[in-house]
Amino acid sequence: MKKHQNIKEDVRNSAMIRNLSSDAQLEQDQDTAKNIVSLLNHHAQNLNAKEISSLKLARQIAVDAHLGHAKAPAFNIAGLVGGLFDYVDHHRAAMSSGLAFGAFLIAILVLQPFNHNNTKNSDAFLLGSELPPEAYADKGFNTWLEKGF
Amino acid sequence: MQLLLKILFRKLSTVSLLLCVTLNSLILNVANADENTLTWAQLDADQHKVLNPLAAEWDTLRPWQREKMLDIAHDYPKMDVQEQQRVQNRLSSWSRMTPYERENARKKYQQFHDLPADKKAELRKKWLEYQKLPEAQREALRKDAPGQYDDADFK
Repeated sequence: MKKHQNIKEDVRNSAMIRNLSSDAQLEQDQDTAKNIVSLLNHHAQNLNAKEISSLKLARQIAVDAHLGHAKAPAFNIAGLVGGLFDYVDHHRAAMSSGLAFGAFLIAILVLQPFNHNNTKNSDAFLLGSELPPEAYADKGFNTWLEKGF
Repeated sequence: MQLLLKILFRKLSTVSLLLCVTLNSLILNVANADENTLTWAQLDADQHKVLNPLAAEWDTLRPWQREKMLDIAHDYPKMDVQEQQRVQNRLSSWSRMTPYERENARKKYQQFHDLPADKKAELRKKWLEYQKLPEAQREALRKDAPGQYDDADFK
């Protein structure tokens, strides 16, 4: 039982040591960063006008590039095509419906001449039937049949 | 930019869809309108052959009448020789029927077409008998018939 407690205490101690060492490392890094900032500030005082202007320009280019990338891509053909593909990819269902509807319209247009009166219900087959059109049109004939003559 | 592209694409899709529909109906309408106003001289040789009984009166027919006759010419090659002969013999009288008579005939033809062969044969026999009736009796029978349509419905 005592041995078990000792082991637990050793584990706790080693964890504390690790935390302490990582805290020390962090403190050291922060000191280094402060030194760098201090050095940069110190040397910044000694920069000449040309160097300041070049740095300002470089900063501006970097900021512009960052903003352009984050907000909107530059307008070029590659970007436009890429955007179109992205849009199609993200709206696949709508695009499929659109394409299906377009195909339907084209099918109507192409098949229309073939569907035009291709059944035996057209006037041509009425005229070619065994009874003359007068027989169908004559209401008297129908009445005569209904009266059972 | 992405938003602008989306809006542009949506607008283009809508416009192209509308254009498709409009173009489709426009092409069909123009094609039908052109066909319905063809003069006798503008018909082709096959149409001349089928519609020959109407040659003298073709240019006086109304566009909708021409359309119906051109439909008949279109279906003519699908028929056997006997049916073609009947069409040639009956074209003139058919073109002189009123819209009311034609519509009545179409309805009755549908009923006749669906009958079994023996019933068709019986009706053919009855038609011959009916034609032997005096005209006054047939006229009386016509007057007894309930009117189903009016010519005004087709104008």
